[in-house]
Amino acid sequence: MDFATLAAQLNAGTIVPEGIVIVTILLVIVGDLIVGRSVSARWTPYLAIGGLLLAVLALYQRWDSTSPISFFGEFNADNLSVVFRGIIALSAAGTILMSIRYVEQSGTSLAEFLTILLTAVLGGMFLAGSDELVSVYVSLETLSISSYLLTGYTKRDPRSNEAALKYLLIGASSSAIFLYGASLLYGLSGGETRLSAISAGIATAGLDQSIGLVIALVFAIAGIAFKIAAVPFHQWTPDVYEGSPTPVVAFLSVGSKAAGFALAIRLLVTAFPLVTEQWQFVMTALAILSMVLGNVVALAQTSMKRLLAYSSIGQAGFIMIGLVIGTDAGYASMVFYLMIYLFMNLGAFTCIILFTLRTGTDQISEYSGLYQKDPLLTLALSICLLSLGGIPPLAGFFGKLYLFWAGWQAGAYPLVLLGLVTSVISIYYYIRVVKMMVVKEPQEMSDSVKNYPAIRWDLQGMRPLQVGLVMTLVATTIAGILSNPLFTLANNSVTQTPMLQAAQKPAVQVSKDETVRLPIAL
Amino acid sequence: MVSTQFPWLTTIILLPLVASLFIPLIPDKQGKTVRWYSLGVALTDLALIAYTVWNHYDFQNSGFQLVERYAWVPQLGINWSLAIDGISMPLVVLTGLVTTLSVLAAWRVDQKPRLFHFLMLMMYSAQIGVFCAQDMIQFFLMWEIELVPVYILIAIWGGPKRLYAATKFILYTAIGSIFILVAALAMAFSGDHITFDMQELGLKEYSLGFELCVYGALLIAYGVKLPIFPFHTWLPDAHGEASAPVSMVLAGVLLKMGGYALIRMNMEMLPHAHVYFAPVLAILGIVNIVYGALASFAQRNLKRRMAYSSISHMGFVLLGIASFTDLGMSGAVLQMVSHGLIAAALFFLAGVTYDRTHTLDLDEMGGLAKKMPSVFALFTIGSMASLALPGMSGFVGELAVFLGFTTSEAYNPAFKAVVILLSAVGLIVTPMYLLSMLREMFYGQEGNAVVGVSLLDAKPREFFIAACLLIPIIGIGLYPKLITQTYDVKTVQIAAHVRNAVPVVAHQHLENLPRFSFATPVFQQNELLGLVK
Amino acid sequence: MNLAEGVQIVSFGILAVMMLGSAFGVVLLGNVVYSAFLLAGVFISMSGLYLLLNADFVAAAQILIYVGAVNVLILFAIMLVNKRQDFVMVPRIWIRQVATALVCVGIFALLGTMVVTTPWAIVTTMPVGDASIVKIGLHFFSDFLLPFELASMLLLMALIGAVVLARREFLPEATLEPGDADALTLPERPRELLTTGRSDSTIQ
Repeated sequence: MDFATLAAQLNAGTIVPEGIVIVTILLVIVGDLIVGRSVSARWTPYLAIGGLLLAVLALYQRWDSTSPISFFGEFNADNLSVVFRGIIALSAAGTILMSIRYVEQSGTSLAEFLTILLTAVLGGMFLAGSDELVSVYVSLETLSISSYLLTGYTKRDPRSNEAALKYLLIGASSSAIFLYGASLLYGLSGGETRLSAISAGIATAGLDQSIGLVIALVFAIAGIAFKIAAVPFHQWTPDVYEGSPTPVVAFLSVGSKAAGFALAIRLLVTAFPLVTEQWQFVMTALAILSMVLGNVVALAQTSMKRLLAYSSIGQAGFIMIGLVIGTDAGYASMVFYLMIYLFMNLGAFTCIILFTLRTGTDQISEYSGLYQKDPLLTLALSICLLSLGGIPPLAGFFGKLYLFWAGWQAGAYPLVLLGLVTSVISIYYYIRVVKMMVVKEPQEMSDSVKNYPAIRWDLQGMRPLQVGLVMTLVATTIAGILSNPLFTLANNSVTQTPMLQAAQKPAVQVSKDETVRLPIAL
Repeated sequence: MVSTQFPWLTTIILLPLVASLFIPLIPDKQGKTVRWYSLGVALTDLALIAYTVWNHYDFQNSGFQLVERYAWVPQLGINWSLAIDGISMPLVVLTGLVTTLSVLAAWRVDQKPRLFHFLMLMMYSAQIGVFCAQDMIQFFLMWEIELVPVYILIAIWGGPKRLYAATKFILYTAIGSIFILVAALAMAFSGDHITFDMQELGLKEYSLGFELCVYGALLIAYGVKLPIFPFHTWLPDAHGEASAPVSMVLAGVLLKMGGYALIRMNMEMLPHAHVYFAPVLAILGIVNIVYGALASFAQRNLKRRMAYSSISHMGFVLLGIASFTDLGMSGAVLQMVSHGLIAAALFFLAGVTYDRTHTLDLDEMGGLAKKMPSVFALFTIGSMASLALPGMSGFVGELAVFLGFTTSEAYNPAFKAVVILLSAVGLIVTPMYLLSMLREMFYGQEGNAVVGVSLLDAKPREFFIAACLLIPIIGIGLYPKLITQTYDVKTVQIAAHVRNAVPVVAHQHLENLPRFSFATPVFQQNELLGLVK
Repeated sequence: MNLAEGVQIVSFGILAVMMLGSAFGVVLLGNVVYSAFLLAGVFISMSGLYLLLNADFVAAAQILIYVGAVNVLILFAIMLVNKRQDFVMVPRIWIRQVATALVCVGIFALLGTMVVTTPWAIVTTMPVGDASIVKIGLHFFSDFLLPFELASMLLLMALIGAVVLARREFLPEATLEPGDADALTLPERPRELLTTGRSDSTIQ
């Protein structure tokens, strides 16, 4: 059997984007080995970005593929996974833009950072499309272990070490719990590991009401909730966000979270259709807790990174509204919000990195009076924060509007009301930062801002930072007003994904006839 | 419904916004070019408004005109939909005038002039957008866009307690605006099809309980803005702390957004609930009038005194809205326009005085009349207009409201008598505090801030701004038809619309409905049925 | 019950007791070295259980990897660090211990109930026994190809990560450009360089 027929048999064309990422990883490693660290730092980041963009392009070509199932059901490259993989790849590209200067200045080597980051992307991308428990777990671990390494990358900083250790311990236990849940699923379904076969297997075994299924569900949700940092599985977030290198935080808050949501949708919808009410109930509770706790605790933060950590918990709560209502519009609004969140959160982190690079601090009080010294940074950070707060006409407003629209359409009134109230709370703490930067008088300037260095974009690694800043700024500003293409993309990714469409019909059937618990299709 | 003609309203709304984006690029060190640029943009936009209204607006048509509609986010049913009618047209013109004059009034802003003018132009766009929007989400969007500029404008260029005032403003308004979004979603999803278009929403049939809930939610949202009594506490702070040009816009335009939205949504879309809520509005109007006047009396700060006077005057708008008569409605709109002009003029003159004396404390002032005779003259004219001296616009507006309310057939005579009597108390207190304000500022002993300081009289620029505001005030006062004829067809239609709702409500079984105890005592079934005859 | 079944039950009992005993020892003993050795006991008894289940490859892998590699590594780490640290007794520690015990017993009861009450679908086919390596290999190269290959990337990355964490860094000061050394210092820069004991004065 030659390679071509083998590839055709496996339908390996679906993972060409991931293949591009792997090739990029290898090129970065080997190139760094050959030419040495100081020379390679000049081109490896651009190679990595190029590879990621090429992967996005390859993803675009795989949009609407007729045979998404590949590797004997291991991998499902449906449109939903394409969108999520694109989000993850783009978030990594943005992260690389902002990390060049940062890694340079923290005195660590860039090529290894890129390698680990790209491997994390690889894990995330596979996770978004995995359709089988073993590959779900392996890609989850690829993502997680890379994340632990990235968190502790600045190893001479004690806070980074502490963050990495905390992340590792909590992450490992949550992985173990997830694995336990997965093994229960394997046992309950009579030896099935493919997600789509699991629910059928459980139904034929007549175990659809068993306590085992509920425990498996709870354990699986524990693993997912850890990845998306939903309360009460959020305890690692503030410390890890505060201690890790800032570009890593940017990736964790966008890319890793997107991968978590992709897993959540796929696992919950395909493997747990028998307990839909239960998982929606559990996720609703998590969403409520995340929105309330994330946004309320953020009010009291003094460090910018901790503020964004709690804000990201709150944002995860908003996104979960789309998940729990379980309609087409709900999933589409999740996807849409994640796309918007990609721009605005990366933009915010780019600004924080720039400020940290120039002043060496991330205390909110140190931002006071920044407007006088650096209007561009002030503008970009204000726009991104206000967008996160949902102030129109910025992109975040449209994201939240769609989530609430979908929630209201599905009749989840209390959730939407809570979302509205907590987003007003969030406006308060975002605007506090804006106030700090814009409103303060020259004499109220903080010491860091008084000693602000002259703005130089010609240092090595500053250009990409500038490019990233301007691009996220522009995207955050206009992605809302001209949101039609993104809306269409998000909607199509949901309506053209067979898994989600199949999940809707049984749900309708069950609601019509409560006594017949099982859809005939099973 | 897509218009074939040139999109005038879109141009008017987007011009300041787009122009504001170029402000950072203007080569300018001292802030001199920026203010000319900003004034040029504002004037152009005002000219556009004037041209559009004059040439393309039919004053005899009660329907929506200059309709534009483009699909914006079709997946959510959101349109970019603009139109003006008799209610919004005067307010759009008022916005153009007041904002342009406030840009001119901000000539002396030398602290961060770029940011200031950038925000002013953004606010200009958003305000006109609020008055023109025909889509609930678009309306909400414009309503919110205006928040952040106002917040920053108060927080940077305000008085000593500006941060507190700005934060209070944004929290009140942001929490209030939640209710708009909730109401929009609730109305859009009720019934058989999803739409955010205001006219279609007005045509939908809602159950009475639903209508009452939505009405209540919207009342809170707009009550914060108008402001209505329990939600008013942000206003004295915000108006008192903001700098003169910002206060002009706040008092002149922003408050009208609340009144406008009450008429546009609560009355036009929810007429049945309006029948229940009208007595509440009337009572709240009275509370506003009396409370605002009395509280104003107690203020020692010039701007806070005027701010409370604004609260008092907005009470008349509520009375007019609650009146169910053509005249009352007409008076409410007239009162909004007139108060927009008067409040802008008074706040501007307060700013002029502050520029010279550097105090707003009435105890510190006194004897200014000798040093600044023309400021004194202008201030007097403004105060007279505000206390509703016949011949000024304030008088016409309040008189129309009174007459409208008295002739209303929807209320029993006892209730009307009480309302009129109580608001007359407010009317009597108003001259007292305004005249005493004039006395303390301009007559008597020279205050601490005045002694030994050489004070310049009004400059031509300042004189011009005041004149631009005072001339229409007197013009409307002398010949009210000048303005009322431009919108009367619309107010008559709205008044008829809500009156038609009365018998519908009356025929329903009141006993079975959720009873709002505060609404029922003055508004019993027999009165309702009496109106049917 | 035939002889083979009897032997199976008895050896299961012995293995279970061994495993539970060593597991409790791992958790409860104060000396870390004892804990580490007992952990090896847990792993060994676990591999015995695999043997009882006819999974000889997994049993061998268990001993090779967990006992031979992981556990030895843990022991190395403990021996090399060689740090004696006296634990300060936390007041009212018993409350925490009781709470932990309650939670653990609760979870055990829940899972135990679940295991007992669920009518598991028992596989009726004969275990492959000696052919298990072939079977596993077949799976690795057919329907589990993707995770198998992905694991190679995971291992590569783990290797690189281990090198990154373990290698000695050059001091970064020399690479900084002149002029921006003061303001451009990151918070991630260590407050004191642990290796040299030199304090970095630019950090607050």
